[in-house]
Formats: sequence, C-alpha cells, structure tokens
Amino acid sequence: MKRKRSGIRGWLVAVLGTLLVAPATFAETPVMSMVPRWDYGYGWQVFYKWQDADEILNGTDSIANPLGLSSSLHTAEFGGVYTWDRSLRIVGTLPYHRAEKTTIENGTAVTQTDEGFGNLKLAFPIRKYYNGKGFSGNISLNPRIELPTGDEDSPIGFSDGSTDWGIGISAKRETPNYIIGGGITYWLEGADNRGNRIDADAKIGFIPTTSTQVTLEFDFDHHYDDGGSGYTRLRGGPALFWWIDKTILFKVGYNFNLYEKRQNSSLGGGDEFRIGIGMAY
Amino acid sequence: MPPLSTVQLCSRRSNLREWIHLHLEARNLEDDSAVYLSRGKSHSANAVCKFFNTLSNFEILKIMNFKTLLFTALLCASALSASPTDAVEQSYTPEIEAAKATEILQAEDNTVALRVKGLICETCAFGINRKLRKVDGIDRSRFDKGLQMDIYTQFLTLAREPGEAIDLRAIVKAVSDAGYDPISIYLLEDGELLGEQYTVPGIDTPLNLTVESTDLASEQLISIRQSDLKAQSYIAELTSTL
Repeated sequence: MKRKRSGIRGWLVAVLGTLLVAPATFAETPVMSMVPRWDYGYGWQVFYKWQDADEILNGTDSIANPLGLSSSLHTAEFGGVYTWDRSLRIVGTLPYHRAEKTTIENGTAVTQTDEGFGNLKLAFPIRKYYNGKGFSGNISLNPRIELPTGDEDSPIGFSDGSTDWGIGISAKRETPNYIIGGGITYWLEGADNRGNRIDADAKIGFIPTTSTQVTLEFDFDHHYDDGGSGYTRLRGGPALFWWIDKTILFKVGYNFNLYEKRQNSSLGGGDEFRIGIGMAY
Repeated sequence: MPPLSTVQLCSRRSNLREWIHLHLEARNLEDDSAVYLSRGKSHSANAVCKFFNTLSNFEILKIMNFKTLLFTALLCASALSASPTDAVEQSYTPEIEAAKATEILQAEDNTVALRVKGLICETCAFGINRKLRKVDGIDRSRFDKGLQMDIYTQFLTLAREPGEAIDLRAIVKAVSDAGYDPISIYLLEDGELLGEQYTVPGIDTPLNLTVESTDLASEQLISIRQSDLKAQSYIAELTSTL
C-alpha cells in the first residue's frame, strides 16, 4: 500500500515536471542518466540554453553576409523522469523558446521575434544497470516520440506539426575516477517534406572530487533532406557537473560548433551555452 | 585585426592559420626559420610559441579544433582506463576484504559493514539512503544519517542503535533495491568478525554469518599489485599488525 502511494506521488511530480519544464536536443537526459536508479524514483530538471548564429554557410564554407542575417535562440527546457522499476522509466522534456531571426524577405533583411513552446519529447528507456567491483554502468534501449506541441505557424519554426518517432541505444560506465558514455537515436520524420535524422552524443570525463565531474561532451546531428534543409553538425565542449547535495545536481557547459555542413546556403548553428539544475528522489 | 568567430576558428584550419598569422604580425613577432606556413608566409617555431604564450587559457580553448579535442578525449580515456581504482579491485582478496571490514568495524563501535558492487558515486547512491529509511535499528545521528560510504573501497558502513536489534536481511534488501549489489556483510560480536561473502549477490542468499579469518599469508600480500598506492599503504598497515 505504501508503494502505491509513493508511485502516485511520483507520477504527479513527473507529469508536472514534464508539463511545466523543458531541453532542445535530446539524445540523453543530460542531468539524470545515472539516477534515479531505484524503483518508484522520480526527478525533474530545468535547463537554459543560449545559441547565436551569424554565419552563412554554403556546404562547409562561410560566405559573405552583407545583410547581417542572424539568429538568436534562447530555450528554457523542463524535463521529468519517473521509474516504475529501475529498468523501466518515462522521461519527458518540453522546451520553451524565445527566438529572434533576421532573414531575407523580398530582397531586404527582416527581423522577426517569437516565443512559445516547442515540441514535447517523450522517451521510454528500457535500462539495464550493471555493477562491478569498482564500476557501475547502464545500457538502454530508448524508444522515443516527439509530439507537435510547438506552434506550427511560428515564423521562427518551432514545430513542423508532425509526430516523429525515434529508436535509440545508449550506454554509460562510471568509476570513482572517470565517466564515459554515449548514445545514438534514429528519428523517423513525420512530415512528408522532411527527411529523417540521426542524433548522437558522447561524453568522457574525470571525477576530481566526489561531488564534481568535468567532462568533454559531443553532440552530432545529421538531418537527411533532399529538399535543401538537410545539415550535418558536430558540436563539442567542456561541461562541469556539481552535486550540490545528494539529490540536487547542477550542470554548466559550452558547446563549440566544431563542424557544420549545410545542404543549401543558410545560417550556421553557432556555439551553445547551457546551464541547468536537476533533482532526483 | 579582424577577430574571427569561434565557429570559424574551430571548423576551418585555414582560418585558424590566418588568424594566427594576423596576430603574429600585430604583435611584432619576427620570423627566423620557416616552420609554420600561413597565407603564403612562414613563421618560426619560436614565434609561434611566443604567440601561444600571449594567449589566455580561454583563447587557447577557442582555437582547439575538433582533432585536438578528440585527441585530448582519447588521451584522457587511455589514462583513466588504468585508474588506481581498478588496481584496488584486483587486489581485494576475500582475506583482505575481511581484514578491511575488521578495521572499519573496530574504528567505529556499533556498526555494520557491507561491501557493495557498483558503489562508485556517493551522490548517485542516494537511493540507498532512501531505501534504508524504513529499516529499524540504524542510528541516524551518526555519520551521514547513519551511513558512511567509501567509494574507493566500495564499503558501506551503517551505524547501529546501541542495544537494538538490526535486521541484516532488510539492510541487504534495501541496498539491492537501491540498484546496487551487496557482496558481503560484516559485524563484530564480542571482538570476533562475523560475516558472509556472497558469490552470487542477492537478497535470497541466506544470512548465515560465520566467523571470518583475517589472517593473511605472505604470498597473498606479495600478489597484490605494488602499483596500487591505496593497497600499498593498507598492506603496510596490515603487515605491521601481523
């Protein structure tokens, strides 16, 4: 009976966390990948991401940008997690975007701003934790879905109005001294005029103290699209994790845009700054 | 001197070379021999070194390209894969584990010690705190709410309420429910070490505590990897007491 009450409370927190909060890329929940690792565990996280771009890319080459085209995207991202069993969980994230974009319309530069929710992403990882003498880790099979909760008519393009399906795998290993992990997801794009995409992430780092981690993280996106909006992008950079106490985790990171290739001439993604806090119980 | 964006610096080596060239010119660093080519001109290794010395750490980070980052990551991985923790684990024979448990239990009265596979992160192990809340007989005024963890030896120490019974089976189950694998449990009774080491971790294993031997044969000590500093200091301590 006690278990049931705990489960309902966890559900409420997870649903509220999922609906009220949100992240933009979603290869793996960045804060809560090792916890909660117990039955009826729950948690939430809030992330803020900031990304500016003012470079026009044609393929991988930067070309002149005389009209000063640019984009600035600020995203607040709320996420929630709930574990029925430590091997079965639901994870959700919902972003709230505030964007400014300068584009060409009828030959002149036009600046548009908009804000609103992006697409809700849910994942149902089936996770196997394994423990060894001196290490712990997990492997996951990650079915995912992206629901079109964002404004389809936004001039910035918060959503394409379609439901996307994804399947991925991920793995992570940690010792008292180091951490290594990664994952990859293949997304089936629901919109007829858009190609499928691949997200992948990897990280490696060391653990200088029992409450901190310093990592190098890499994100890779490849969007197949013969219509001209396809792109390939690799970003990477340092991140710092700090356990404020046993239940609260803080993260700050900076992702450099290491490689980007655009199918047609368009704005490059730019670097990304991110800061977040998560809690798990 | 036109500053290049981070994107340009990181994504195209040619731009990086141009940027370095412009900085070298701006800072009046002269060439003496041709080792570094950029924009049709050359700079000496000395000049390039001087240039890098003028950079801040952040600037250096900005001009790291992907290959450099990847190389650094691989270097870190190879260095960390030979971490001291692995050496510690390889050196933990059952006898050493029992001796270590004795040391822990003698250091703090009224305690129970468990060795737990996977206990490598104090904060990740919050679930153990949570699952042990329902277990009676734990003195939560001691340690950190009754628990003390050593992630390097993977020992979990619980403070017992003096004079109160404690359900060892419930402790093992709680640790297991928290996502970890208890592999042994120890306590001292009248100065004698009682314990059980599990071949197959699990809550269904009967808790038939038996007297554990802490005697170490000299050849067992020799077999312990000398490169392990933690084990070395521990061996020295044990040897002095034998």
